[in-house]
Amino acid sequence: MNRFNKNIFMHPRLSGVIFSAALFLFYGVPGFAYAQSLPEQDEINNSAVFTLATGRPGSTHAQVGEILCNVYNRQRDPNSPLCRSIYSPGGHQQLADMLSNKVHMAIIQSDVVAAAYMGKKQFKTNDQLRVLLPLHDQVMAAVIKDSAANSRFDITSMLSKRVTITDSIRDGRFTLRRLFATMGPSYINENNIVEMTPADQAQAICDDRFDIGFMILGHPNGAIQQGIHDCELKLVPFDFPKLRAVVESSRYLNMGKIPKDTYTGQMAIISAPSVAALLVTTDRFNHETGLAFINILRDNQSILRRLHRSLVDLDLNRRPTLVRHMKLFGQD
Amino acid sequence: MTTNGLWTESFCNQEEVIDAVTGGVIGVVIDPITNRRRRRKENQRQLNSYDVVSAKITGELLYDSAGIWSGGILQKSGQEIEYEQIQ
Repeated sequence: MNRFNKNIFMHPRLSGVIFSAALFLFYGVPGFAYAQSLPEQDEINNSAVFTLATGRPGSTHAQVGEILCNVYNRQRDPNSPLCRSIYSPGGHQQLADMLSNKVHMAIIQSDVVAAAYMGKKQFKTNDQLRVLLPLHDQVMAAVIKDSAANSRFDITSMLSKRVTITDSIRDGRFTLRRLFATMGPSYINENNIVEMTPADQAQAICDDRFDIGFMILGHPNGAIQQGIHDCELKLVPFDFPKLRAVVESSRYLNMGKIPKDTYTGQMAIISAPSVAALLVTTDRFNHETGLAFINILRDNQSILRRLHRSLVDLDLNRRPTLVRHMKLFGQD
Repeated sequence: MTTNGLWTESFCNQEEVIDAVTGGVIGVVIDPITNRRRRRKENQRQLNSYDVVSAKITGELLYDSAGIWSGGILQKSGQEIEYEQIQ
């Protein structure tokens, strides 16, 4: 416990310094590197702490991870381990860190988790992965510039469009490449797709260097909101019969929606394919701690729904639909 | 309201605040602890107490009768820190 003496606390100059220190302590500093946030091996081995790998600083995954740990920590048994959320560049890195015991849990896209579990694409089979809880949908955003020329934007063919998608570090790239490969060359020329960070995508569309950008993110997303503010970007529904048929035949996609008013000026619900954000671990994680974590979160669902817009529809009692073939935590 | 508004008791009426560091929106769930208004032994001052949960700050906030932040018991990464004015 720290105790501040009133003479210092109430000092007209020092109080500002102390308050700034408090802000630093409680609101954190964004942008510190992933390497700095990874715990030391001693800490991993210390059963007093377990680590939850999330996303990049400021991302939906990072915010949701902090919320989950905070809600758990305030109600945990004092003798139970603390939860500590850490930043991570993406699902592939999180999986690697979890499978090599550098972290205990992670928030990862369902299709990436499923591919890793089944040993598909670039993954070896990792059947020790377990799903703890489904968290929220990650709906594809198709973003264009809101201009007269785009008043009747044709989403049903990308052949004559300049297309950008999220870059290779992000899990969205994995999903979008997979979807566009399934849609085939009659829909899009995959060789013409350019990969960028979401912020660069938004700027490139604002600058008329690209016609459309596809992203898979938790919503609301800062890059999209910034683009809406800077150059009147707008979301368009990514929903037409051929795409819907692909989604319905897919094991890794659902049709999802971005609720109206998620972004400034968004007057209607946006329909688009989606994946899910899952809380995952391995079968090595301590069962007692894992079940206590799940139970505390389930008991606090009404609070969780109020703490982040992506958690508004949270239902921790449902079974995750996109990874039916995977084992849940506690199933051996 | 931004997170800097923590200084005043009106902060406790918010459901979302703007993070003064990142500019992002933070959801907050703040409920008054009505059944145990605090009375500090040191000075017998009556303080209003609120339970707060968010992505960035969790714990208990205390405000004096003028609605000014008087301290709190806050958690960061599960570590508890108490802020207290001492007369």
